[in-house]
Amino acid sequence: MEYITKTPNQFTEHDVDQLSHLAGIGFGQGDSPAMRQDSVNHINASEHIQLARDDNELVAFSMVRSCLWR
Amino acid sequence: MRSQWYGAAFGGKALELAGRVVHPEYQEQGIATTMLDNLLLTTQPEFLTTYTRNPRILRMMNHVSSELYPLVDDEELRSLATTMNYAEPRGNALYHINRYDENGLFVGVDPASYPFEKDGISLKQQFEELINVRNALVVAARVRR
Repeated sequence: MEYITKTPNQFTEHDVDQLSHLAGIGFGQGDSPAMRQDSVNHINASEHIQLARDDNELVAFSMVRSCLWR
Repeated sequence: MRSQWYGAAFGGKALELAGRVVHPEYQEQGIATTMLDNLLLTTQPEFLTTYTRNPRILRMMNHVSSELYPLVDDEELRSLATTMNYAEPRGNALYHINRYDENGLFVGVDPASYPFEKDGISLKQQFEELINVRNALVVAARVRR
């Protein structure tokens, strides 16, 4: 398993395709233009995205934002 | 007290877990927990937040937390949760009402039908506004040191 972290501006079209496809599987909604657009929106709203790949296939992702508190 | 969300800097005192998926064939292998552990090692936040209706996410956060609101009624964590966008108090928790469309986020089985603790009541029984698939629980956790 390979774990990497990317910022939104490091995302390639292939990264977006893989993430959108996995999101469609995870939420049971399949591939669709709406799912891809929603994925793009979430990627752009994140500060970075953790990716887990097995044999170059994306098997997990986690999007993170940060904030100051107090 | 109010939190100040910002987009450019990294390493604030709180992190929002804003979206995560593990492929069904790779679940229960600790991948999400490993990713979270890596994140905490790198960023060392004091707090984690999220919106969810999935008890698996709560269990993952509980793995690294000393307290997890709304599972425990912690005043500071509730204050943090209150500052999150769209947080509305209802009953024993805070919710993002109508976070998802009318079909909910998940097609098929709703994860809120499952309990946080083995043999416990379902998450949507524990937090009543989750009966509506459009709603998400607002969660804040103190990271264990």
